[in-house]
Amino acid sequence: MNWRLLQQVGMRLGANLLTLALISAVTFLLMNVKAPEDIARSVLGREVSAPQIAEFVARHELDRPVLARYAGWMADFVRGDFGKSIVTGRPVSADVVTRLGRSLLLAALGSLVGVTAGIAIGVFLARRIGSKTDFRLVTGLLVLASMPEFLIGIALYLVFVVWLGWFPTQAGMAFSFGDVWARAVTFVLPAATIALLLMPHIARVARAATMEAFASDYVDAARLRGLSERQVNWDHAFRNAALPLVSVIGINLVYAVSGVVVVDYLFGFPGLGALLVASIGSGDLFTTQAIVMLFALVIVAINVVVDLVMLWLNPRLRLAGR
Amino acid sequence: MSIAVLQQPGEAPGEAPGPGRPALWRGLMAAPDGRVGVGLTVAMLLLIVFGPLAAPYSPTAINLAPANQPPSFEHLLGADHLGRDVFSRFLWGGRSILAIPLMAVILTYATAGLLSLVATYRGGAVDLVVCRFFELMMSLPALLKILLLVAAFGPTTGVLIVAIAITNMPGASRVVRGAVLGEIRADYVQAAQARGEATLSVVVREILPNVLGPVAADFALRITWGIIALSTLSFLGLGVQPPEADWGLMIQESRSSLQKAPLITILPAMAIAALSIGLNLASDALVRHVTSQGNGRR
Amino acid sequence: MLRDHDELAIGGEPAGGRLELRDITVRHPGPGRDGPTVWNVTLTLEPGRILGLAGESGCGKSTTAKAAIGFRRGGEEVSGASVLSGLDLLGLAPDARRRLWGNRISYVSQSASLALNPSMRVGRQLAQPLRRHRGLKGAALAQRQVELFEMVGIPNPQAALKRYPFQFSGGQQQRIALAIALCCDPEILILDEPTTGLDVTTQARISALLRDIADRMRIAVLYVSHDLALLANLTDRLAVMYAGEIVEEGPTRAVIAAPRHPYTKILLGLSPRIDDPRLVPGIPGIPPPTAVLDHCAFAPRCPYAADACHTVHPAPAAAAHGGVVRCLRADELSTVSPEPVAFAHARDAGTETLLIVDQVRLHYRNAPRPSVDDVSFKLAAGEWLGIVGESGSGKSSILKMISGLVLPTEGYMRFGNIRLDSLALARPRELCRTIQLVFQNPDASLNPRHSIRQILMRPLVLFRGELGAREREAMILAILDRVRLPASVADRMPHHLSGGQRQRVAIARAFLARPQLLLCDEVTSALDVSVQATVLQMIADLSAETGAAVILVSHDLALVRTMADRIIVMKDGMVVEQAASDALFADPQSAYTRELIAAIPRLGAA
Repeated sequence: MNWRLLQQVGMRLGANLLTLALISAVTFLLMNVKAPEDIARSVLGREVSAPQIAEFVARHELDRPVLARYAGWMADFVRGDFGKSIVTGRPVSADVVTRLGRSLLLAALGSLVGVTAGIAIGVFLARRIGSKTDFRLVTGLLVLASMPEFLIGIALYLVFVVWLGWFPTQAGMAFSFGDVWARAVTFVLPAATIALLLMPHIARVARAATMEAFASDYVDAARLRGLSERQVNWDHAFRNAALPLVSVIGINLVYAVSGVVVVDYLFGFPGLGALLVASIGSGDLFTTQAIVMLFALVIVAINVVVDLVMLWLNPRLRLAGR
Repeated sequence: MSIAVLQQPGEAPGEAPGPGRPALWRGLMAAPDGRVGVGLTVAMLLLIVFGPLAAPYSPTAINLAPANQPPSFEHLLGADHLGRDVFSRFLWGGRSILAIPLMAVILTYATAGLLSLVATYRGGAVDLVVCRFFELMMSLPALLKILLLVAAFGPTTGVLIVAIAITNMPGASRVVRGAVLGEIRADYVQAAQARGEATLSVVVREILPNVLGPVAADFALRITWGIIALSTLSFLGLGVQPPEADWGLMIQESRSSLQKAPLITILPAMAIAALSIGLNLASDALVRHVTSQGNGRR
Repeated sequence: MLRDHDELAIGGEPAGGRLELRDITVRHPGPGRDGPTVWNVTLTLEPGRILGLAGESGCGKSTTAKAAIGFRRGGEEVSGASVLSGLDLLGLAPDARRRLWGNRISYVSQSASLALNPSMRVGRQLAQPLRRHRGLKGAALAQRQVELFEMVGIPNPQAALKRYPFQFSGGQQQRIALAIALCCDPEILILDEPTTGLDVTTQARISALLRDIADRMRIAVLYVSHDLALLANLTDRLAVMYAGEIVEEGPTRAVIAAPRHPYTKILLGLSPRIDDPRLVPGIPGIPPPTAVLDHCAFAPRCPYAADACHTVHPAPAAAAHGGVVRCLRADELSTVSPEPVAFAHARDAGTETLLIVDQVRLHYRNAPRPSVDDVSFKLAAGEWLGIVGESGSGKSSILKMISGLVLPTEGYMRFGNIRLDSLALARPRELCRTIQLVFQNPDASLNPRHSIRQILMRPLVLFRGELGAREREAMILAILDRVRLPASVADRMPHHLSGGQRQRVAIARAFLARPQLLLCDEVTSALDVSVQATVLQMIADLSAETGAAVILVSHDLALVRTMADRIIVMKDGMVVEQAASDALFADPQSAYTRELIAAIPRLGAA
């Protein structure tokens, strides 16, 4: 660990913290563009009396200045207190935390499969550039990449639930009543959807990066030094192909995290995404902003890790300015 | 080495295609997947534009038939849970899904695209600020950004257009910036500057024709993404609102009866997929054509 | 140092391998590529000797070098034999070849910055072949690494081993690549344009190092280069390639002193030399892309071609200089050689001062030092001024300031009686017209989306608004004819033209504005020598006709010598020396100029 490296790491952490602060401010402002009375009306309904509105506004402290409320919200948020839902009145954190865990597990499972399969397919194709297999698979990947996530999910649902009947129709029920196995089964289709969502993007970049590395002068040079094929592949080709791949994997992990919104809703999976859609629908602003902030936290954390991996992989970044 | 070696000594340069749009079109049609993409896109466009003319009923009229009626002679695809004619709704359902993304991407390029063009050409602090701004906008994934905006302002058509436009801005800005940066240091731009050409003339005459290819490809790609985003939103019930006829919304509404009447879901799903796949294949062929051309001349 | 793999030489016969290339032919099957790119190349590399392989771009010299050691990329078909002490490299199993590569045979490619793995420390890249071929480990490995870096002249080897390629300069990267190539004491060393793109002083130092290493380690070296002067100084034998064939081969001194093939003669006459400011006029046309087997490949461009040359493919024949030559008329032409000419241009007595540059400084923001620092000079009307310097010397920045692409940080410039204190955009149109700029890379200086007519029309529209459409069209056709391009070129796009043709269009564009001052920024460094002479000739003729003054910026001192009346030598943004051309070479005043002149490879000095 040298001073230059520490400085680079510090700068990246700082930039990401700043980003997080900005996201929180923008999110809070967007959730409070409506007048307090309108917020009350959207939750309580049109036919409410003025005192009822006043009481609602006072109870949720909507009458305080926006800046003061933002400061208070942030202070509570970092302590794990996400406020009370303006719809149900329950503490937001109670609903949110268990769902966050499930959603992260789902995104991680889907990403793991999607990224692994993507890299495997990409590297496989990179050695067959210009062949019929290459053309067909690349076109296939392109078709898959043009499919909205929910269509991938519906296709899986039609095949495996409706047609083959391998999975129960009401997957979400397993979390309330099922055993461990039943719970595990509910992950399969949502995770597969996320995997299929990421796979084509990863595969395309893996293919291009591997192809470029293998066409490079330094790989030729390594061969001409008589190095073993294994050394040429791993030390010279893949090591350099990894660079563009890591940043794309980072982007796709973020994509996977936001992807849980759709699969939750589609498969009735009791995750954070389902709650987000529901709370937007019901005008539950506090829950919405808490969920968006949690997503933002996860995403910024992913970005930090990707930044650090890039620093580690790319000596140019690490030794910049020397 | 490139072209020179393909000529015979002393021979005059050979016949070759001219500049501009026709070349772009030819490049697009040269690849088999490009042709499939264009064909699919044109077919879907015909369906979307002329489909409503062939609709036997109003797409929003309810109780035309008993709820969830199976296909019959009067109602080719049956009726949905409100007794609306599914076939008519299907024929109408492509309008919003094409029009909203189209307007959004036009808005993206009219704002972020133009801004980036000017900022990149000017360079310096302006460029830096614009660049950082769009970078920051990228820190939340597209879906979350749209959901946030819809949560704040409600799912009206205007909000949807603006929201989709906003999510496309950082990417469009990057494409424009990259293309302009590639040109701006090119000697022919410097040659024009040294001739004393006016800034507008340099941008319009020297830079723009070279940026148009990548931008056209990106434009098509962004419409695909807009279609994906909007249909996803409608599917979540936060996009196009009832009682509109919209393919995404139709899937959302028929989802609960997926097991009994899968056709009402499958048909609009196929339509969305065909449109999106067609546009994506075409724009990908275009990107490949533009980049291969770029390599050819450098 | 003993080799563990080859038999020890007995009775004073030195160790070392010979590599014999026999009838090497390379084909690239595929559309539009019917002929072989390399045809029947036969050469022998002797231990301790350097064989030079010369030729212009696309002639197949690099392909030959790679094919010679059994390296081929997908789709290439190589036939013939390449024999190293009884082993045919082309017939060996891939594994067996791999045991030879980097061990008994090493290869160094043109660009070390591309040939070194960017994300691996150079020490590890050096260690890999040592471990694999020699099984070195631990202290022995570390010692050998340091030894090698010392041998190729990398300062502070211990620390250097821990650094990444991008932390070294281009010259040092090439030295590191060389250290890796030499790490297992190879018998055969293949060098593919190893110093191309490096500054002339760096090039001279690396060449000297190579000569020394070849002699001391008794390595058989194949040195591929487009630079005939460089090979003339460095090599023992010389082979010249044209269109995939060896057209002439023999002892270097003899070939340089009395070349037998017309192509060699012209190539030698085309290379600018510092002892003679004259050049042979350029030859028309461009080389064929593949070998021509039904007649002499050079015949269409050859000034000495007879009827038979167009119908008979000449076979290699023994030549008087002890080598071989592939020319039907070699014997008849033995005493004929092309006549060099001086490039005529208007030499006004230089009474009227056209341009004054006074104490100009250019310091880009965030740059560690000024790009141009306190530069002053004057230019007379019609004068030719050469500005010479290595990369980063600030020579091109001066042109940018004069043409109004950047503003100087400090200083004063005057053109005629107009002060040059604004960017081109804000200058009077008439001023922009009289100062014209031609760029280095013709691929980039013409807008790829504009036809040649559109490109040539632009200066007419801007500066000659009084002309009607017909007159403009006539002027475009006239200037195209003047730069010897057919009128049909007007409707082509830039990418349909060859590099030389594009550069001629760029020159035509500049002269359509009828400039008083033409700024040439390395205008020929992207071109082959046979094209270079043509382009220089055109600039000379056109400026002589119009009386334009020319500032010629180049890294090539010999080239500038052939063109300029006066020369400015620059280093690190500052003027080192300023003198009349003849005086500069006769009596260089500064140590740096002397070093530059000494570094230039000399033709005929051998």
